[in-house]
Amino acid sequence: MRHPDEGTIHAWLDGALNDDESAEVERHIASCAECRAQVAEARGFIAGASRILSALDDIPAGVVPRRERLTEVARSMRTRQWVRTTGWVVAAGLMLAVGVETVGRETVAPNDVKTVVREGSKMIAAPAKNEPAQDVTPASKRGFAPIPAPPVRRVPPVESAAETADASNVTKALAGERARVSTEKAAPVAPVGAVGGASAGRAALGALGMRDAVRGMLAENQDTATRRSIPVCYTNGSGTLTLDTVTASGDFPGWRVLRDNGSVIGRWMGGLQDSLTLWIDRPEPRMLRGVIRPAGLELRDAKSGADVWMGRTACRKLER
Amino acid sequence: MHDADRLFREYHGQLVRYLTRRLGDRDWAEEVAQETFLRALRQDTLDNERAWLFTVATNLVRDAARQDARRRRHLELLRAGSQDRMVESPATVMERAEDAAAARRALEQLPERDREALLMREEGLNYPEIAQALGLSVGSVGTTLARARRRLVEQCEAAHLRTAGR
Repeated sequence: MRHPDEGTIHAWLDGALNDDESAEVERHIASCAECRAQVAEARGFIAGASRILSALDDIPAGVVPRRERLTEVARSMRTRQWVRTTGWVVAAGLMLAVGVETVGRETVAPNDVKTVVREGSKMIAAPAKNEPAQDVTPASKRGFAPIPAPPVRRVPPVESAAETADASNVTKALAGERARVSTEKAAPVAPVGAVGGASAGRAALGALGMRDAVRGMLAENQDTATRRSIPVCYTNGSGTLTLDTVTASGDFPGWRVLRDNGSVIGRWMGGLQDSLTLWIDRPEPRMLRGVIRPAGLELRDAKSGADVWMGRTACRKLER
Repeated sequence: MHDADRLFREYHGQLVRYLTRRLGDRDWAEEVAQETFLRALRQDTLDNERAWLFTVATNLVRDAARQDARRRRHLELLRAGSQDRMVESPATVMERAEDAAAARRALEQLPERDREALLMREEGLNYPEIAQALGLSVGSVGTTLARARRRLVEQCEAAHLRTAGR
């Protein structure tokens, strides 16, 4: 056999040669001091490269300025949104109801911010920024039935007076939305957040992707210096799930987490458009897809698509 | 239908580390990994799961890297960040930051294909998987890796020598 080239030596050390090729290389190396030196050198390069690359693992999140990355998205989004929504917004005399909340880290890292959409009707009533949202609806009236365990059951929501008024106003004002809203109201299972203003807002944002849109708005509207940790929690009367900040230690160090009544049950993989992906360990390991509605959160099994949990936006804590 | 849970459990850690090393930003890496897994969920079948995931993730990274302005900002921030840390951190942290900065610079100097092959191999991909992900022949993976490892080590050593000589 001729001297094996450097690539073959690396392939041999990586265990990538078949039995015959390996045997041939081994026989040659046993009788060739020059190639043994090459093998030793290759071992050094393999170990050295691994060591060098391991230095890259000590990298903080948020190095890339998401604010800057999203500015263009936000600009684009606002333009499209304005064109699409101006007509009915003016006609309705309503404030477009898309609330933005952030789930950031304990620190005020400027780029490490995740977003969700808050309950639309609240934002219609009280669009002020940076105020803790008050849950104006009594728990008994909340419209989201718990679906914690089989058999899965969904109960049509009971609308509060305020919501009914909002929906009614929106329905009257938004001619273009009337048919759809009516259809939703008549459906045997009313969808979460079938409030016209919020739904329309969501639709307007849908083309670009809710997540990017909301992030873009965040990038534009929030001063990085004032960002704080803002867990967002959802309740369905029987329990509370919270999309929380990263944990410094514990079950998922360094990860955004999902808490069930305070206990970490999984980690947040992030979001895509108007959905997010969660991996939960309890009560059983599985991947969930979360759908962020204007009024709350729906969780479905990532595989089967079956409903797992749904709840209404219930609280946000400005500081922890 | 492949098993999404198993897919996630087996490959998520590898993929995020590969992407973190590749991109230098964990948040960004998580985003790309997440996008990759979500695309995987939409597939009915995956012939070679790991190669598929790394292929998609690599393509997503390449798409992002083509946006030159962002890439420049990214690199500038990496440099600025490492300088800040060197000023503010204790000696051991400073050494680590220097190592990371040197490793980053050396890695960035590798040809893209060499860099990706090396990072994939570090995550345990075998030669056929790397070949599939990068569109190489299996026979050329060894040569690619040998070249990448040698250059990475030599460039890092040269950087350390320059630092020591200052």
